[in-house]
Amino acid sequence: MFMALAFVTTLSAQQLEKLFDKYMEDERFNYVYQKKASMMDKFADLGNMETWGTDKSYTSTGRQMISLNSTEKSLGESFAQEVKNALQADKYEEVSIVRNGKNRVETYERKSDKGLSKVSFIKNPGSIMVSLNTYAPGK
Amino acid sequence: MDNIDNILNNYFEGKALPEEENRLREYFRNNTVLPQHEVYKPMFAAFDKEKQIVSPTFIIPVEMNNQRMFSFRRLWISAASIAAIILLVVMFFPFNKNNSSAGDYLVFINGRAVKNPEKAQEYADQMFTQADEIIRTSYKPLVEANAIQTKMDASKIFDDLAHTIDHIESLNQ
Repeated sequence: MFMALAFVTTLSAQQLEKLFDKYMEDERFNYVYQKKASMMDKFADLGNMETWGTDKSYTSTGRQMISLNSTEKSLGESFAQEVKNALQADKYEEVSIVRNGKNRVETYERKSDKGLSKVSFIKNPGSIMVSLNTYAPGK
Repeated sequence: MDNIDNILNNYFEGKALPEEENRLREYFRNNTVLPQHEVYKPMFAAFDKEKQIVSPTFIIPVEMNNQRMFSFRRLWISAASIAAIILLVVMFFPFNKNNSSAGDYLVFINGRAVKNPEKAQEYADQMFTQADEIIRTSYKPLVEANAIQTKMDASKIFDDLAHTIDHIESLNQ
C-alpha cells in the first residue's frame, strides 16, 4: 500500500517534466535543456527578479525551457491548460503574477527536502514559454 | 471625484477592470489630480512606464538554414562576444570546474534536434536570455513601485527627520 502510494506520488511529481518530454520534439515548439547553470547564467541572474528570492544555499542542478510559437489560439489555450494542470498536479505554489499589457508572467515554486524547483510561465500574444529551474540544497 | 475614489478602492483590492485601470492612468497622467490623490501619482507614473513586451522570435539554427551571410561585421561582433565571454570567465569564475560545457545542452528547434554542441549552447543561451529579459522587464514596474513604497514609508520619514533635528540641535549646541 505504502509502495503504491509512493509510486503514485513520484508519478504526480513529474507531470511538468512529462510535459516537456511530450512536446520537445513537436515542430511547433522549441525546447532547450541545460544540465547546470553556467557562469553566464549566474551573471544574467544578477538582473533577474525571479532568482532574487533564491536562497544562496541552493545550487543549480539544471534548467529547461519550452516555448510554443504559434498564433493558433486553441493550441495555445490547450497547452496553457496542460501546463496549469501539471503545476497543480506537481503541487507548485503560486509566487507571483505580473500582467504587463497583453503579456503575463506567472512564477511558481516547490520546495522539498530534495531541493527547490522554480517555474516561470510566460504568456505573450503568439507565444507561450515555460521554464523550469531546479536547485539542490547546498552543502 | 467620488468615482475616482471608488475606482482607487477597487484597484487596491485588485477588483478594478482594465477600463477602470486605464481611467486611473489617464487621471494621474493629467495635471488635474486632486491634492488627496497626489500621494498615488508617483506610483501610477511608475506603472505608466510599462512597455509592451515583444514576443521573442527564435531563429532557425544556421545548420538547418544554409543561406548564411558571412560579413566582416558579423565576424567582428562574434570576436567581440567571445572576448567578452572569456573576460567574464576570467573575472567571475576563474577556477570553477563546474562550468557548463557545450555537451551539457539539449536543444530542439521546431522539433528538430540541434546536433552541433556549440550551436546548441548558442541557441539555449539565446532562449534563456530572452526569457530572462521578459521576466526582468515585466517585474520592472513592480520593483519601481516597491522602491516608491520604501521611500514613502512613514517610519523611515520620521526617523530621517529625527536624525536631521538631532543634527541641527548638535550644531546649535
